[in-house]
Amino acid sequence: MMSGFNHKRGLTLIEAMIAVVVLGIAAGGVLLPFTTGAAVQAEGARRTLAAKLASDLMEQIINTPFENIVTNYDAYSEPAGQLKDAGGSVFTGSLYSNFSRNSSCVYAYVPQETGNAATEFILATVRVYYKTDEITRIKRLITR
Amino acid sequence: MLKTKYKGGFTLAELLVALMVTAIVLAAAAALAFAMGSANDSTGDTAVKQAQLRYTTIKISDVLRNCRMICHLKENNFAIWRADDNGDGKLNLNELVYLGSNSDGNCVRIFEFYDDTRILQISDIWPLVTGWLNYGCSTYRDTKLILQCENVQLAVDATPPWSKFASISFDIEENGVMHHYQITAALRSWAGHLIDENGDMVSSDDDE
Repeated sequence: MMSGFNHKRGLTLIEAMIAVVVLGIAAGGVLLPFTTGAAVQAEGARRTLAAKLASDLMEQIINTPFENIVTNYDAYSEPAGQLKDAGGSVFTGSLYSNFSRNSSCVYAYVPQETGNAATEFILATVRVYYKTDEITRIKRLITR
Repeated sequence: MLKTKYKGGFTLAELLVALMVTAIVLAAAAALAFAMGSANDSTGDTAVKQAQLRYTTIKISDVLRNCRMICHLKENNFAIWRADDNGDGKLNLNELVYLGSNSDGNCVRIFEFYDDTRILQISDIWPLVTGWLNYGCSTYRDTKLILQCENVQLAVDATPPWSKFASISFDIEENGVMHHYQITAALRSWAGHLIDENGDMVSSDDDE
């Protein structure tokens, strides 16, 4: 029977492998920007949320009476999946499941402002973690 | 002269096999293209919503942190004395903003007035929420900060105008999943010295 192909004995293994590699490179070139873009976007969204979570906790600290800040928020910690909103309810949903945050609040002496040894300031620090990585840290000097 | 081994053309079987192979390859390519298009749309949609979320967070936090007071919380809107721009210790119309949602609760918006310096009392504000045009105020700007969201909720630590802490929460659908977000802020510049025990503006802060 007559065959219409020039490769009467079929393709060699080398030829087939080269074809697969070329196709793979072409497909990878098309798909790579999408996967990279999605990963960058996910990282951006994660950092945006981390900044919001840090800011939210700092706002709660600032809104606390000065005398209670150290008592309530020094060595304060919310483990992963147990972040609380301003009303005290836990944030539910997969978005928050890997986030945790903590805060430390210590009295700070700023001599040029107070003019005496009284502790008129508190240095508040809030850290937000994604899994085990600290991705946001903010500090505020709070006064009465 | 063109040389070909198919001097008698393709057989029907060869043609059918070729068509099937072509159809399979095209179907795979179409499926890949559709998947890439969907992923691209989803990524783009999420990027837009994240951008809106970032802008909204900055805008609302700035308004709440630096405002003089929250005058009302009603019908899912804050009426906010944004700032005392002219330093007269009084609430002028162009210093007022509404922040909240529409009646359907599916967007977050800010409603600002400008070019109108009439002095208001706190009690004046709310009855005018639907009657600004009758009040002769046609210079306002209604800006939608988040276009597609649900379940917009506002909360304060105390009844306005004594609120010193406020939050706004909402749900946004991203990639088919509903995510809950909240923006909170403490009022740094609360002008409690400008209201009396009934919540009305004093004519001068020397009155209290």
